[in-house]
Amino acid sequence: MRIRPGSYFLIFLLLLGLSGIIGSLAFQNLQSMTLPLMMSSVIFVLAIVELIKDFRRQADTQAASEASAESRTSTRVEWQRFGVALGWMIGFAIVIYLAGFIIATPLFLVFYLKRQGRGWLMVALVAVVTTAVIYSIFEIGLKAPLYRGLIQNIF
Amino acid sequence: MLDAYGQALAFLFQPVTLVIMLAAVLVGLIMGIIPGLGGMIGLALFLPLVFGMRPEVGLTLLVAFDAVVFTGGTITAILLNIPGTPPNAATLFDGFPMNQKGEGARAIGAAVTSSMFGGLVPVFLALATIPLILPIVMAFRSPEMAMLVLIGISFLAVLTGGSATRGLMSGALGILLALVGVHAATAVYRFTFGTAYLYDGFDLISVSLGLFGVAELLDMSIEGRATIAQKTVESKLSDVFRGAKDVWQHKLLWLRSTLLGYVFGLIPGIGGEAATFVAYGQAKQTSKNPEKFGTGCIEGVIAPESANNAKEAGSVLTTMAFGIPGSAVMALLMGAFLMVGVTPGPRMMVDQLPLALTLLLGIAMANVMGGLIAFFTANRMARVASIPFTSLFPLILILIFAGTFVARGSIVNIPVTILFGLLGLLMKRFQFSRPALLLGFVLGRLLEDYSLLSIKIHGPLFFITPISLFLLAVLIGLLFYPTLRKTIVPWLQRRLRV
Repeated sequence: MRIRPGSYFLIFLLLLGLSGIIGSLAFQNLQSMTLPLMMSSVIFVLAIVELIKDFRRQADTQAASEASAESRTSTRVEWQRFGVALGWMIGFAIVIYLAGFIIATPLFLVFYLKRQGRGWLMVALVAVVTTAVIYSIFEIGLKAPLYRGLIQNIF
Repeated sequence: MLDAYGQALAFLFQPVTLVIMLAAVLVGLIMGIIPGLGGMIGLALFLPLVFGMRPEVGLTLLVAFDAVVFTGGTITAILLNIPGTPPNAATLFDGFPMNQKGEGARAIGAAVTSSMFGGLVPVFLALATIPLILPIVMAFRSPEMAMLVLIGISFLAVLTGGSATRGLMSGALGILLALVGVHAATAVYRFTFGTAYLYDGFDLISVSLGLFGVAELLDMSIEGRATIAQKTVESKLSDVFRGAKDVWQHKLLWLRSTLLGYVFGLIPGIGGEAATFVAYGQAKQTSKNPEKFGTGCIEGVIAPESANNAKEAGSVLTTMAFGIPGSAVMALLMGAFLMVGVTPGPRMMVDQLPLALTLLLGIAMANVMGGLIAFFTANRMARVASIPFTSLFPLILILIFAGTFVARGSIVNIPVTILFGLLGLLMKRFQFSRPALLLGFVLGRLLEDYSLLSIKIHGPLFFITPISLFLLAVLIGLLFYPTLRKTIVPWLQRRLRV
């Protein structure tokens, strides 16, 4: 029997509930233990209920669930798009960590927009204006310093 | 009371406040126009800006933004056949056919006027009901508050999304996440795994920006959206005025729909879509020409749009007076209240009455501002929806990352936000309720404090008070509501038929 992706998420929640129960029982004070224990138990029990429902549904529809070639291709494309979007996010986060917001923001915009095929003038304009806006809002307007990055420690 | 009104009005008419509100209204309209963004992401993006602001300034900014998002969403619904926000979906039925018939400007005029007055009148209704609500809310103490918190989470868990079980799991997960960190009463470190970052728990900004902002960006990327819309439509101002005149001609319909919207707003968990679709339904039922609905009928635009904005005043009142946010947006708003040091609930209506009045009057003013701006600029604003998604993606991501960093001044917030984004995406894909999780997260600590305090004062049977027992009955009814709906109602229908 093939397990559906939704069931994996339920198994994850089930394990989360179980670790919550074990973790809560380790708290020595009853006051700090009660609510986490209750909530972890709720998650654990409801995850079991949902998993049973999910497996029953799968058994009912197993015959009809043979994925077509078309739907498999579509899923592959979706995974690719997801990977690309998540890659951009993680990449941007790493550049922020290394170089700080003020350098990472224009760099990210230049790379991202050029990859989308935008012209240099437009890319440069958007990169400069966005960085200026972000700096003005957070550093000047809200007096909230943005992260400077590891690079600041080197120089 | 009069003093409080004076203070509220004096604050709202300060030039700085007006400028802040105008900015919030403009951003709210634009966020509403761009399908897929809407109030939730907009509000989450605004949260970091509120951090450190005076409560009245920060919260007025947020309610002003929230009040007009649906007005913006109307424009895309009518001109492009795409609901800017989910509650605008009911406007598609007649708004877009009117546009196809060349009456788009008239439909916009009617929709914007209905929205503007639909958002204005309930504020005065809410203000009028405050003296009636005060004695009720003052009877609530810690046991009742604990029950209210549970009801609030259950409402959202059971009534939003598909499966009630998954909704309740989401709410419980939200509460569990809220409990991460040092427990103030006992100094016990809970689920911190020895990480200093987790001593203070997760912060609301990272959780909300992840669950809604990052998750939506990922979801839209997976869908492979290139542009949201490419069409541009021209409209004349005289036609927009004609639409406004239509509202006057259907004033009774407008009033009925506005009242319906307000009542729906007062009830937590029902959601904006329900209010607009019910308003649309009653308009059709009471119309002399029901057969014209769906073909471009002006009444089909007036009804949902009046209800749309009307429900916000009701939702804000319930959030402030009882501390029960009726929707994800209200849960986030409640989080913002807590962030700036204001605890919504019965005491707020007494101790912070000027602030409560400021916010309600702020909604009214924002509706007028938003209505007037949309009235005269609807056509130009609709072009915002033509911005390619690939241009919006980096800009929104930069705002999310900068906002989440500023919330705690910690770079760890960025990966945490991405992780919550992945959780939000999975929840969206597998029909778990993100609003219930957020509400659980916002109310988790309050629930623990109220219940521990109640046990300390009244013992373990703290819920044996008349109001608590009533609330307990409501809670049980609510938890069994899906089962009742599935079994008892069909059984009754069968019996009645026999």
